[in-house]
Amino acid sequence: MSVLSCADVSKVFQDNGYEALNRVSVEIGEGEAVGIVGESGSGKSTVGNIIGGLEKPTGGTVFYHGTDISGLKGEALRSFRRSVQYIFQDPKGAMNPYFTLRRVLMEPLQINFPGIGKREMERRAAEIAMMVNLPPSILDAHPWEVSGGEAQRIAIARAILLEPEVIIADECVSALDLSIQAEVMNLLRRIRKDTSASFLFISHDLSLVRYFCDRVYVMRYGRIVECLDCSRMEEEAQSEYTKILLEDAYGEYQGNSHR
Amino acid sequence: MGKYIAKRLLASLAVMAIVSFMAFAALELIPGNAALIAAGTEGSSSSVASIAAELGLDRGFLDRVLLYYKGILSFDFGVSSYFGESVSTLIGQRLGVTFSLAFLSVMLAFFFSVILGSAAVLGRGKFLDAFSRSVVQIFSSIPSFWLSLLFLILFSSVLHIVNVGDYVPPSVSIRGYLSSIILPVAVLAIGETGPLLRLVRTSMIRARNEDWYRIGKVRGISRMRLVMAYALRYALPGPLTLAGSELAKLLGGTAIVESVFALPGLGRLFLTAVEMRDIPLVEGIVIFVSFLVVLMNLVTDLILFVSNPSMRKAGGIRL
Repeated sequence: MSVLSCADVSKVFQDNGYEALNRVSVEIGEGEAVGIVGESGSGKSTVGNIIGGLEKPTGGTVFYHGTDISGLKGEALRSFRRSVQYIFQDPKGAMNPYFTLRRVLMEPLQINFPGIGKREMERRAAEIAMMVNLPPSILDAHPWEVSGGEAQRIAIARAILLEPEVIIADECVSALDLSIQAEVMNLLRRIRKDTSASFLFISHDLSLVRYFCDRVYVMRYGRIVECLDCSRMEEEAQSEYTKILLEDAYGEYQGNSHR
Repeated sequence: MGKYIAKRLLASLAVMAIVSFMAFAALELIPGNAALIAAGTEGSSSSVASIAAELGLDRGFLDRVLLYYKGILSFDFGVSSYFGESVSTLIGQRLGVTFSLAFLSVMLAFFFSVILGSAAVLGRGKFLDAFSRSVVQIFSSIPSFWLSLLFLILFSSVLHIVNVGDYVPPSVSIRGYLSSIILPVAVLAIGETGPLLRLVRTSMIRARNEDWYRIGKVRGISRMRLVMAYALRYALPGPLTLAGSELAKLLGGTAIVESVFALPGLGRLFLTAVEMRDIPLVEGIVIFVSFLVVLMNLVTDLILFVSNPSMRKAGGIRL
């Protein structure tokens, strides 16, 4: 059974009547890395927001271990939120600017384990910083004082701190320059190997998705065009749109069937 | 921190020096002088000259400026020509009233704005937001003299709840004091609530739209914590700055409300001084009020400095 999935999810924005999603179904299996690729406005971020409970769908259902998340309350809701963590495109925007990075990392512990001591939280923060290749001394800085790559690694640290079942990464390297992108992608790969977490990796960049994921959903105009195995993309691709994306990512000369 | 305060104090001193010079120079430019007024309509030109000599008006401009600054530095603003009392004493007598009005009304407006503004933006219902955008704004747009009259009629003449007309210092009777200032404080607070509430509201909306606020809830942060540690901390510096400068503004001018409620405050004293060409008194009040404004701005900046890590780390606002 899938850890997290959504079935026939639709989203119409109330204020302008814009239909962002039309009957989208996505499944994330245990330990699986699932990608969503599509151009901006295709609805891929909305899927991420809905499946993690950030936004409510106007139709359809999101299931967490087979349970409809709209009915979750109390401890079950807290446990769901603990189990699904986000990494966003703008890491600095996702952190309280008044907090030091240490507090940013301590906060999830403080919220989820109220009995935990300050010493223990600080120790865990330093430990998790090391895990994402950051020196503990950086934790005295505020989010706006560090580079984009460092901030994104803190964001990743914060996401894995609670040992979640699913990590939703929404364009998490798009704002970084290429060399830093590679660093962060390698870090994510390592985390995938070291933990049992599933990933929902949302990106406009097909090559990144392919590098990281097992399966990919191709989205366009709020619908899922098709779902492909990442290792057999060229063979499986049916729609013209996917073929164009492949061509854009890997160049014309590599064609459809040989890579 | 110490360096920042020292820098700010120096800058404040410079502002004070410039303001006091401008006050002096502006009054110098007005035709006529104190000797003419003191001599009266019957005075001969020789008596005018002797009074001028007595007041030091026959000396050169620079001489008089230096004398003026010497006085300021020893808190001696001279003697009021109209009241015949020392300017510092006169200001001291009136300060309590004006300070009470300004401080209490800004405090009241600030707390009301923060509570209503936060609830309106972060709460679930839309009623509070509509209320804060319509009723409150309409009331705070009413000119203070008119609102004062309405209040007077309603609470004093119709309902007989409060007595108006006799200011009672808090040292005499706290009850009497509160009853004598509650209406003017309410009038001023309503006026101040409009802009403050608008600012709290927009700051809160900005906070609400920040990623770290929006995702706070899915990260499991409680609503209370989100409002206190996230939204308020982010949204308050703006309104706090405004409250500081409004307080400074009110300290310098609650003349209208003071007049309507017949309260012996600084504003009325200033009006009288200007009317009577009481130059030492005008100068004294201008300098004193500018001192208060500078002080308030300093206090506001220090609060912002302490509460904002980015300012703390950068060593404060660049001057």
